[in-house]
Amino acid sequence: MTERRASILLVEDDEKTRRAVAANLEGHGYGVRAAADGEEALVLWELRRPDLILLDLGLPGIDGIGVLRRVRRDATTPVIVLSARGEERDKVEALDDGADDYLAKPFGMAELHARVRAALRRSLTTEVDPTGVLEIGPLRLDPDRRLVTVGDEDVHLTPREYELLKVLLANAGRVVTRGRLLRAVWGTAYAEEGHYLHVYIGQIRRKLAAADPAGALADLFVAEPGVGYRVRGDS
Amino acid sequence: MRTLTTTAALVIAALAASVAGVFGLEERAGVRDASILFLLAVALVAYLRGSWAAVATALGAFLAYNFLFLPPEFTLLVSDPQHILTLVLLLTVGVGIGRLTGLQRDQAQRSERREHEARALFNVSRAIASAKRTGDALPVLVGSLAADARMDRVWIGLGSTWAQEQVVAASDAGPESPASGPHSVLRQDAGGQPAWVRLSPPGKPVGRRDGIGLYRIELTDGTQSIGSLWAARDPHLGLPADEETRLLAAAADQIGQGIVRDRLSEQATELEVARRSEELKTALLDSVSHDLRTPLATIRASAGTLADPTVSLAPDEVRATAREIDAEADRLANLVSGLLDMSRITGGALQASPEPMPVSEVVRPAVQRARQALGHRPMEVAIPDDLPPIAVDPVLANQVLDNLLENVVRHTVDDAPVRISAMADAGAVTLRVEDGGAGVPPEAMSHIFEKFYRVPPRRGSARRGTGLGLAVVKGMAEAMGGMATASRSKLGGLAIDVSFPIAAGAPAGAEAPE
Repeated sequence: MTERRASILLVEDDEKTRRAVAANLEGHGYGVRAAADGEEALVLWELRRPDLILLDLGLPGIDGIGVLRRVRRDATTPVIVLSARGEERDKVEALDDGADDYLAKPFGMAELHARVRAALRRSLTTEVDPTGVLEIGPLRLDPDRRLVTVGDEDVHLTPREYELLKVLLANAGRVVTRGRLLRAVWGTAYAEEGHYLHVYIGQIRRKLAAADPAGALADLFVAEPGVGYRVRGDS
Repeated sequence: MRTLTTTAALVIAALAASVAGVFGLEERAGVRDASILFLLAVALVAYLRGSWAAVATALGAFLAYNFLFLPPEFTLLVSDPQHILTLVLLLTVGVGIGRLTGLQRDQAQRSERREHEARALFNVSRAIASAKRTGDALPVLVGSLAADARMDRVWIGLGSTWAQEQVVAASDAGPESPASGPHSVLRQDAGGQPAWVRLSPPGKPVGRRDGIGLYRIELTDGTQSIGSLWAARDPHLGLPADEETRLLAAAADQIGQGIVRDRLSEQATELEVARRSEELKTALLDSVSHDLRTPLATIRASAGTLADPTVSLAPDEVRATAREIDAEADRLANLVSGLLDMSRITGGALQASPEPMPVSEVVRPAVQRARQALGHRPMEVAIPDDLPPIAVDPVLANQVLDNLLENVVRHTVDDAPVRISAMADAGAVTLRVEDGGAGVPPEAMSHIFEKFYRVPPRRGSARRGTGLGLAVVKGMAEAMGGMATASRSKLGGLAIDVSFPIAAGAPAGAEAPE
């Protein structure tokens, strides 16, 4: 954030929330554009191409999902979905459609800043990674050699475990929905078999823990119950 | 008719046998007077057929002895005056024996019938008394009534008129037969005695019922008809005997009263349920409005202070005030989500979608999330590796764990040890979350899963829960087919056990396809 102000598009139909959040983010040095509905959001998106979008799902007119799909046609700009209780299904749908993260309303400002920071960092770093090696703390996944190591130690994963870890690491910090994980690792026929994930994550966790006596990776996987998993971003 | 013929046949057979006996004794064995044998026959008949048959036998014996054995034989004349005495003796003693023996027999039979009647009545009372609702006793009752009153079928119809009667119980699964045809009704006659009155109600006669005697006794609630006790049997058996009538009448009486009792208690239950739900709503409203008002008061006071142009606050005071608003708003949000959970649970809208999950995958994310809030509390997680997977809804299971840990955070001091353990037993895995906090007094233990129940605060403990956390835990555990219980922890504080069903057909370490 030292080189330039990151720009954020805030899409929120409730005026008071919009004003308060915008003021807060501006106070933290972000350039904020705010939109009250989907149409305005898409106009601002075309004009400004912000670095990050905070997207309320329940919008009048074009709804949040519609905005997200339109944005995803052009760009991988990080999108954090703001969802109220009772919009669980929309939330999962948004994540399936490429949203990076979600935040349940009502949220605290500290939580919002943490998510925004993490998403921006991700979008700035993942673009510059020519080798394809995925690294978090002592964990290293080398896709060319299909090799997983913790520190100096090799970790032997089954092919499915490896694929699962790779998908999660490649999306470090982002919530990857159960559907996406299952489709990516087992294929579309298994998209509903969510319980495989619990078992496999458990197995990977055990194998990593065995190679990681210091416990640096103990909290690597973060379960988002009913939604999916994420790997804690490097922080 | 049949009994009369068999009785006559028995009398004749007894007389014939005595004649043969007397003939043998007097003519062959040379006994002078064997007429006493006839008394044996009289006694036998009296024993088997009662006093009137015995009297008939005595008369027959008198005639037969006179006719066959006393000279001049084959006439009813008697030449020897001594024989007249014998004849008179035979007649009087015979009649006497017959009457006495017969009376005793009749007595015995009557008392047997009375005992039977009493037992049948007792069965009726017991069936009604031992059932929670009279309605539950009826199926058994009609069966035993049919047997005790010698009916082919007994059934009970409820309704204020015949046309509206619904058969609620029948002694067999025969065709439904609310009679619109001729039948006998039990009425009290002029002397107050119950009597069967034959009725031919208007309407088309029911042809298929022609060969059946139909009996009906009204069931009343004391003043109004509420239905009928019906009985049917072969019309050749005649009207029900007195004791059968008494039994049916008594049964009808008790059934009528029982059904009235049922209805009253149903009304009372409904009223009670309504009253209690009203009470609960009031309690809920009181509790919620208090819980909502407290943070709102803080928020309004703080925000008002911030907005007031005449109050000048130092920057760090401003921040502290705003933080207070934030914390209170958070508390409100917590309460609202607890209320939403609770209303989903009590409204039955909570749909669990269970899937097999390793126990550690239920526990670990919750521990991860709670780590910061748990602060310095030493935490031990003891989940054996070989536990079978449990069938839980991931979202609800996580909520259960979150609430349990939140409860620990809220009610224990900052260095109280916390332990999470799990063990499997028949069909379920029990997760235990316990702490070394101050615990819960025994008298509060049984209430802690109740909505809005809060353990009475101790001195110096200002932290207040919403009174919903554990109620939600229990509701969600039950929605997933499990249960929640509380006990005293070995660590000194509270231990909450939540059991979850083991996933069917999923042995430990169930594999996904590789």
